[in-house]
Amino acid sequence: MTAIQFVGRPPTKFRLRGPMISAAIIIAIIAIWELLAVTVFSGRFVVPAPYSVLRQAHRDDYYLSDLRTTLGIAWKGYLLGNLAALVLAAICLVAPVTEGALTTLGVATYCVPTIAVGPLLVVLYGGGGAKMVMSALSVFFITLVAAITGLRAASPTSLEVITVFGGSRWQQLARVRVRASIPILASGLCVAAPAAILGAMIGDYLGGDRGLGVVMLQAQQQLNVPRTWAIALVSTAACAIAFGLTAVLARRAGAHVDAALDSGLTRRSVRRPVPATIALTALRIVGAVVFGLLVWEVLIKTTGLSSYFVKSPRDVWRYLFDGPKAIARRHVIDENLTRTLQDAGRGWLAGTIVAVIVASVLVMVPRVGTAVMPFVIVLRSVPLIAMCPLLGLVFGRGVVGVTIIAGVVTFVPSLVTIVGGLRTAPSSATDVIHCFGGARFAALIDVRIPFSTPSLFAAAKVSMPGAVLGSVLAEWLITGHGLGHSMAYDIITSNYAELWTSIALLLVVSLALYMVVGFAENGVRRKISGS
Amino acid sequence: MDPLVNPQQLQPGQAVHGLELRGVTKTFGHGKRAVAAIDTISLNAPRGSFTALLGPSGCGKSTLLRMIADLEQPTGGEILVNGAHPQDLRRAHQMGVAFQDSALLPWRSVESNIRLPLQLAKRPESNDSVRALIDLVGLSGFEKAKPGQLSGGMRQRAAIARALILEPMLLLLDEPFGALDEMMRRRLNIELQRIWMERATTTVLVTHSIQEAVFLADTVVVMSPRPGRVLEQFAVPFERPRQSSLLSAPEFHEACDHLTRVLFSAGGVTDSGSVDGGSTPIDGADEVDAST
Repeated sequence: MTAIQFVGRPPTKFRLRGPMISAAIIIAIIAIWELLAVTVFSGRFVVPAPYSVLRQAHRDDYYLSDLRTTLGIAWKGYLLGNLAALVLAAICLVAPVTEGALTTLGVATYCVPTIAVGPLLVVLYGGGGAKMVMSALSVFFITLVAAITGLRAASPTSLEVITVFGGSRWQQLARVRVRASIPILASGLCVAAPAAILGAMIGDYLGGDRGLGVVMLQAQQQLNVPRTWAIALVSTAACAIAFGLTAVLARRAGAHVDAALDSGLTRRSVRRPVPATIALTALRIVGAVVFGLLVWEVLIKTTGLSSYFVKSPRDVWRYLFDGPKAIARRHVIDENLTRTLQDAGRGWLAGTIVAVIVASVLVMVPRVGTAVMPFVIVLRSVPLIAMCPLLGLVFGRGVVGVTIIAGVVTFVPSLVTIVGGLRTAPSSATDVIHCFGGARFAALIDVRIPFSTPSLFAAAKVSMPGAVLGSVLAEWLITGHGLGHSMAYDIITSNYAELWTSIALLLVVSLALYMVVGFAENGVRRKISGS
Repeated sequence: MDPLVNPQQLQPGQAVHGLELRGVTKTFGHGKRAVAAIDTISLNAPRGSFTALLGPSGCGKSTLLRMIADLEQPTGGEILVNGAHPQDLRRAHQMGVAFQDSALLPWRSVESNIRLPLQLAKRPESNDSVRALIDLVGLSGFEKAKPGQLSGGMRQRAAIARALILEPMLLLLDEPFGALDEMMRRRLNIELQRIWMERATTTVLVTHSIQEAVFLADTVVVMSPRPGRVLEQFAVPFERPRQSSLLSAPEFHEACDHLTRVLFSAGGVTDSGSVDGGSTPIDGADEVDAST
């Protein structure tokens, strides 16, 4: 978990300096946008000038009613997702044994490609209900992480004080843990607010006749460039306002929101002998698999849907390994999965490299960092995955388009986490480098980057499933290849066995990535902490 | 080697003058919010001398040290080390530093941590000098240990060895034993004196322990808080090497008592929270001047 403070160096000369720099940056962005639109992109019809976007927005006066539709779904999803997350976090706290299983479930909801389960949710809950559940799914993991981390955030000494004065575990919870969890929990709720809108918009890509996602996809398909941009701007503004409003409310309630939650759950590392660690890890993986299959079966049993739509683990197994067609099926799925993972991997790599470079610059030049970080946080709340139609329009349907979508999805959250990591280096360590005559760059290489490696892994843990989801969505909506495309095709052709198999495979791959990188993160963290 | 005269490090025609502070001031903030942290401090520490900056927390002694280390810039005045700006000294890799937090890199061994300044200076990493220093600070046998496996005292020894590896012209110590217990602190103080006497590097030590200052320093600079000012520069009369028996000698206590009086009469040791910032001079300062 990373706590980002936006203070690089307090402004010493003028107190207005920060806002002035921010205003200058905004003006510069608009100027560069205008300049690019009339020079590089002129005649290519993909980047309209700010002026024509505004004119289009003024001419189309229906965005607000679509916004209302989307928000009407998103707030219900927000409540539902948060409620589920808080209940689960409470269970984890009351019965710590369940924590492993429940957090795995949380990670699974994060890793599942929401767009792919969408059609099934439509069958289950109808159009509106499905979008609400997708919105709740997008919120759930963020709040769960925040709640669990928050409840752990209380300092051991403050808990010991309660014990020494004869307090019970319950009183520790009521008097210390809950209060100590508020800042992190509030940050989670803030990040979750735009995520709810994002979930609803991805739901819109499944169909429907109202909603921001619906009109954005239509505008993209009609190649109405200014309109696509205008809708993208409206949804970005809605998300930024949702984030800001939650932050203001949280501050009213006494929680100072200064943390950006991007790094997922980090298990408390306990030192055990190596064989025990391996055995425990194996046990945990087996447990997660068994638990996952159990949840899957229970979902099938409780929804009572016909086996035509809903496939059990056994059906998936049969699809992959049973009968004469199995080899051909495996071949197709394998090819598509490889394609998707290549798309995701390329984008992830590019996004991560750029994030490391930008984070290094932001940290090495604190003045730039202080000016730019607030924008990064705003960017963090932009529904980037939902910008898929726009990015496809600008960067095309080829490799570049998919790479950029997966890359952008990786870049922003990773940047926030890595900047936080680079700043965790104790100032005395960088001071020592400075005094011995080392340059800033030496401090970066010798101190900051090694200290930030756990955060690099934490960022990767969260951004890898994100990149997979981004590339699936890009394939689904834009490029027409890979697993994303084949899943969209499965729905049209009612090939539900293949759809379920694809979802299960994607889930397994994403979960495996999350877990493997999580273990690596723990290993590095132990090394850095020096114990 | 006579550390007092090293012709290579001196410009021709320059005097041997060690560390010089001329009217150094430091203000934080601006306009009405400005808080004076340091108010016109002038000092002179001859080459090869040991100076202790003594004062209660918030008196600006660490800020002063950070300015000498080129970690912060003075708002006014000038800091010179052998006639050069601290930045030049730092860039020439002639500075050594140790903080209260050992600031060792946890993934490097003791030996490798001590080598770090050599790597930064791109100097040949002679095994002999590293080994000799590890010996000097009493860490033989722990060359390969990671900081996490060492006790607090051992980590500080390693930090001091690291500070000395470049054979610096100026050694800056910011409460290097501040986090250690009293007994470990005494032992390390005796060792620090021994290490220092072998090299006689110009040294500035920041401390809030009166005994530590008197035991180690040639000159104790007593400072008062808000804004930081020099109350008195006290020349410690004891011969070196000072033995641990000195700690119980009456003249040692006399010196400590004198410094205690100076500190308390300035109001700096009372609840400093009640003395609000701003640039108002502290009333007690005049009395102190009278008493010295």
